Amino acid sequence: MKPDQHLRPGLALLCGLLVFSASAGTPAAPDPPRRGGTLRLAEPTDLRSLDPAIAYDSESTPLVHLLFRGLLEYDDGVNLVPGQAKDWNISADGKTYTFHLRRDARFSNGRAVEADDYVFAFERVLNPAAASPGQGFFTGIEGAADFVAGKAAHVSGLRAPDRQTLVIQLAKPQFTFQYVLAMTFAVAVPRDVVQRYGKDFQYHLAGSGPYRLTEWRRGVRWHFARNAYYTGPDGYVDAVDIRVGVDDVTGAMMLERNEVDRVLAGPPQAVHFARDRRLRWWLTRVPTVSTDYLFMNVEMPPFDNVLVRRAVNDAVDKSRLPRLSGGFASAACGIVPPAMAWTNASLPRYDYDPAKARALLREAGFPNGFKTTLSYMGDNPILARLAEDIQQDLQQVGIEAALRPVNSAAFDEEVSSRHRVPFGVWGWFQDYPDPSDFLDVLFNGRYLTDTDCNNTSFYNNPAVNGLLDQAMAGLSAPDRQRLFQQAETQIMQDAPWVPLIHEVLPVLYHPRVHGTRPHPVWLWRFEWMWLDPDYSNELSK
Amino acid sequence: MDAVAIDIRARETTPAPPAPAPGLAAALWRHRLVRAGGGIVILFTLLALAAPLLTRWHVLHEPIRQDLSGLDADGMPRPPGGAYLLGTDSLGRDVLSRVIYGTRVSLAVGTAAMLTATVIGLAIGLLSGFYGGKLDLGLMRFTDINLSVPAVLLAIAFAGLMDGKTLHLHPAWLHWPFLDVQLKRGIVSIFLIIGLVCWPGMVRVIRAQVLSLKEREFIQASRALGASDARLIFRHLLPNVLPTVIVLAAMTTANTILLEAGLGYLGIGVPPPAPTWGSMIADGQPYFITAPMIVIVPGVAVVLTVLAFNLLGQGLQEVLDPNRTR
Repeated sequence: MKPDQHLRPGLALLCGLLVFSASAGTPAAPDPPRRGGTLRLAEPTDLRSLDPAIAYDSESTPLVHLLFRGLLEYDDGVNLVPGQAKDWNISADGKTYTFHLRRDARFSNGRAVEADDYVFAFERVLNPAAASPGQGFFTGIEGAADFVAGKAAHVSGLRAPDRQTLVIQLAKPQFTFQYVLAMTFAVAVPRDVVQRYGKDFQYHLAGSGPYRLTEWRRGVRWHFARNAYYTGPDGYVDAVDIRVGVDDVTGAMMLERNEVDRVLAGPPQAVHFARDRRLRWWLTRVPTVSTDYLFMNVEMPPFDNVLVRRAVNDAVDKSRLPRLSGGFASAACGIVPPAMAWTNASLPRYDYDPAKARALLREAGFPNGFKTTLSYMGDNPILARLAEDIQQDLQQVGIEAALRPVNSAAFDEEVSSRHRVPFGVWGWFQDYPDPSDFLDVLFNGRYLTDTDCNNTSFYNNPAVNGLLDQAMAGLSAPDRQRLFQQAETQIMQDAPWVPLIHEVLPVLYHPRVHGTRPHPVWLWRFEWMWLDPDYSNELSK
Repeated sequence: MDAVAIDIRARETTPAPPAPAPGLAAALWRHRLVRAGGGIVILFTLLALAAPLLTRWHVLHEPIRQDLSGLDADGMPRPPGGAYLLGTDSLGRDVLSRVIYGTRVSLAVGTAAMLTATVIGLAIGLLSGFYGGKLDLGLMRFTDINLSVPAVLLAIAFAGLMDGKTLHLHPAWLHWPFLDVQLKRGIVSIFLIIGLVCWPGMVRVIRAQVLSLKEREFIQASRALGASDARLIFRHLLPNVLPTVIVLAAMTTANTILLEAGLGYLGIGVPPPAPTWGSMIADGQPYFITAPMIVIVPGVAVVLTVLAFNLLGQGLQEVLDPNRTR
């Protein structure tokens, strides 16, 4: 998943496994968890939409998960468990998925969830008219290509033999498809409601999740209340209220005044809280499963020369980056984040060595360095700061990189278009807990397209493609791990990226909120949070 | 006939502009608003000019050099004191050095934009007032249209066009690369943008003055003597509107500097890492509680400079227009 304007300091989609609370006198939580109350959240800018076919950013998807539910879910770790599917099985050849739905699952308008609603939901995401960012996740279904091309009215690989049975036929085995089914793109949507409202469905959302949307005043407020028809494990709070237009500085002050319950802070606010004896345990540090990186377009000179790319790798001093990020980052050595329980001992090392970088540039035919343009998303302070820091390092070895801040919408379109951006700073956050989400999605040359290409380096190495294809076919876990490690090593030798940092999110919670342990994939499970009604906010007195 | 004509031409005189030419410098110096405004402007100009020397003599830090010693153990900016008189910013850069180097950008962009706006405003005002008729009608409606759109919004729209794309000022089939202009953000494009949105305010004042001047006897006499339009405009009208233009220019500089800071704050000014006051305020905003000097210092610099140019403009107006009393 690409970062967007929501991925400011303290905003990211998916997080890591570990949570460190700077605990100094954290009050004991009442036991058992209490029901009731309203969880008050704050957002700096409005969410684009909570339509599950559209929402694809850090803050939206956990909220979509409150309103909608799908076939599979994660437990409190990274294991998949049945959601609104009673059970499921995968055929021996890995191509056919059969799901039996729960009979008691209902949408918030009271209608029962049927298998046909899933067929409709998947076709809706695949339909080019919906312009869903999730379309690519479903193209492995048999007949999806014909449907997308307009050659077929329905996807032949999606069938609903009866109201409670859904059969999905893949064109070829795809190990990661089970994770796709746990994404918010794969939730059930009521066919009748969507057909009635069309594109205005986002204002009349009806899902089968534990909450329903009761109010959306664009740019002002969102409000969720309990879904009376929901039959799964209930959420603790009665309502979730989101105030829009609260930036991190204002949010931190409102938190102290007990006006909001959670703020995604920037490093300055986080350090301010960490240094205050009374406030330090309000801060949570969440390592993300993400990698921010410097990409070099291998189809554009001078980055078509591997020596230049290695020189850039040697020229960047990554050890400084965590401190420049206020301590809310760890330096990256490889592509796949360690938070994905991933290690690769065979990775080539690129230690900060300006002399070696200059020698490589001489060998590449650039004894005096060269001039280039370094593009980055100007409205993302983390990426902007990385770009300014890297520019200084590159200057030391003779590479004059003019900084080019671009707004988030234009940047996304530019970097994913062929022959447009030679050099830039960007980031990737996990969609699902598998290394293929980084290696196969971002580096398999078979997926290269002229536009909307996730492979911003336009890297294409047939040897790497072969390794990734083998790994994706569904081998045993150790074999997949070995193949992915080989692929990552080869990619780093070809050096289309300089991996920079893995972000750590500073999140501030009011002490009346409990159950804040982040989820390794969902990041926030608001339905698992609960409020202590007896807590008195001494600071606000 | 010739002799008579020459004789009359010799007596053709241009009345002195209202400004008291002799002793002007003394009059300016005596005026406290000019002294206060001019003093601040001169101080900032001297600082801007001396900044590279001060860096070479190690009085100032490098303004764009990031240094981990400029950050504390938590990676936060250092407070004022020690090696950093006004503290550091979020990347460990010296705030004092950046605000002084920011003066160079602000004054250069502000002055160049003022000159651009003045040339455009003066040209349109003179032509419109002098020729009148349909030209006046067309130019004034064009001015009205420009006045009806807020300058900030227009500047943001223009700045949005500076996205690095190349503008081909020729038909595609000609392949004339010398007519290709790359639209990218930099000092030149920013001062042009600001200059192009700040001229309408000048036009009405200049046009009104030209309308009054062109009915005066000396203009009528020159016209009767056969003076060309160009001569009337450049020899007679321009010197007489100049005092007004100088006052307007000083006040416009305050606006252009403010607009430059505004664009920098919005992230569409001169691109980083060049220090500009606006971008410093924007970068420092999240640190307002932990390191307020990052925001306060460039903020004070903006206020002082804008105030100085406004004081200067007000003072100049009073000195150059003796008929006007406060």
